[in-house]
Amino acid sequence: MREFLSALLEYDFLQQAMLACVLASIGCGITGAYVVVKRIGFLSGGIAHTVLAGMGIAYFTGTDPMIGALFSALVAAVLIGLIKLHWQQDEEILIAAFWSVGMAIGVIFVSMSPGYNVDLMAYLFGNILLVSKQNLVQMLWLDCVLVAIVYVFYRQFLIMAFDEEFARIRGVRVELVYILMLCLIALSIVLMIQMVGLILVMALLMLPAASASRFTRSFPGMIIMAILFSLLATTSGLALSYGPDLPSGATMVLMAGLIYVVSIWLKRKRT
Amino acid sequence: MAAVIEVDDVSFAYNGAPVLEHVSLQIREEEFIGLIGPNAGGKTTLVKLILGLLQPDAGTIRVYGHCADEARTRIGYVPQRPIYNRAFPVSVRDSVLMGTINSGSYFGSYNRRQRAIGDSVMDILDLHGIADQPISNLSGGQVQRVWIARALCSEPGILVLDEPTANIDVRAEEDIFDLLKAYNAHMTILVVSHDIAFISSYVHRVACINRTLVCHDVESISGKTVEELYGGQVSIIHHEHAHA
Repeated sequence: MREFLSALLEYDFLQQAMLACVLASIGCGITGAYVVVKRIGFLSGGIAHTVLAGMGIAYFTGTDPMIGALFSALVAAVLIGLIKLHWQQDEEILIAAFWSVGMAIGVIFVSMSPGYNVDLMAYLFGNILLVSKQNLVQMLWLDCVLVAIVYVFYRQFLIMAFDEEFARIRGVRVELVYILMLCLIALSIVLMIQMVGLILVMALLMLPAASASRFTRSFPGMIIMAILFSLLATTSGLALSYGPDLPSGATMVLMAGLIYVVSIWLKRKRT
Repeated sequence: MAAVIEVDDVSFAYNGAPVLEHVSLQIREEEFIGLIGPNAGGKTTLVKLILGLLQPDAGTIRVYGHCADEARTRIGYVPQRPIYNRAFPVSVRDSVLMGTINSGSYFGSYNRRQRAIGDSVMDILDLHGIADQPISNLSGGQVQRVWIARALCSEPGILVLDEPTANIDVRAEEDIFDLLKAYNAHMTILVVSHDIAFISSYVHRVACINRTLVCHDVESISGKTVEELYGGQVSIIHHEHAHA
């Protein structure tokens, strides 16, 4: 720990990694709360894994993989949202198809590019120590867009997440609000991919928010607490990985899991 | 008085299985009408058609002279078993205030007027003492009062309740119906129930639905004992259906 703190003061790359933890936690704390209360973990998993298709194609064509990730995440969010709204009986099959076909496309494109082994691992499991200043600026922008949209649509998201049928009767355009919410989840997935990779992203999206839901009585409180838990998981995971040189994405997710277990244990009685 | 809900020769089927056939019903302004019938008789389906959540296969539904899905914001709806996640961290006050949300509700918070409506509705439904409790802590009867408060918060002209007293005791049931009776002075009320014995002392008319619909004035059925009447009526409907 001490070694980590002195290194943190010394090295730019670690400071950038810390900043990335903060920026990613803001995004995933907010959208994670919606994923948990709306119970759309599987949908979000589908979006996250489809991202590899966009990253692979971008990598192959020499564009910034983050642009590819953003594009494919948004396309996946809209398509999966339409599936959920209009083909509910085949929902699971269709989302599973997106999930694995998206990954397959990504793997094929990455494998056709030279030196694929290293990069594929970074996409799947993340590498926070490779976060550049340019990435941080991208993350900051994503956070700003996310916070602005949630602020504007807060009440419509709330009623839609709580009781879709009642929202419809109140005249809320449920389809539009639902797909917008999935797009926000897509943005936060892109935010976190550099840190933990797309395989582990679901844990970081859901576990801090699920832990937060056990301690709070209001939805804004849940969002704030989810951001804090996420910050705790990512920074402590980063610190933990530094000394023994473990993969930081994996230690972050382990910490998120630990926080979740502790939250269950502390609040056993509440259902 | 003018009809606020006009159901005209409506038929509806779920995946080919007919649920409603040639149903017509006119509900007048400030009427208090009970909708009864056996399970799977089409009560909830008719309510969802009126709310525009389902579209009829044949026939038309007008609410205040408009299409059902255009006019539904003027209906306050109390669902039977609303699907919600009990772990959703939301207080009684927040749940009630959701009744004020509509497609124009942008930005974070409620305005002063909406909060005042919420407060007055919570007063009437005796929810003030538990306003800051999470709804996951409430009993079935309390949750039901929250849904009624939420529906009233949207300041509806018509209140539609689907089995509002299915999970609560008789005393609480009486309280709720007394309250509805008071609101009926300026509000049209449609209440779905399985208990004609109870509701017939409150409603003006009873619509019996079992795939087809038959209406009865309460006066015309008040002479006999209510228990007998319920049994008799159900068997009459079965009889009619057998020959339909």
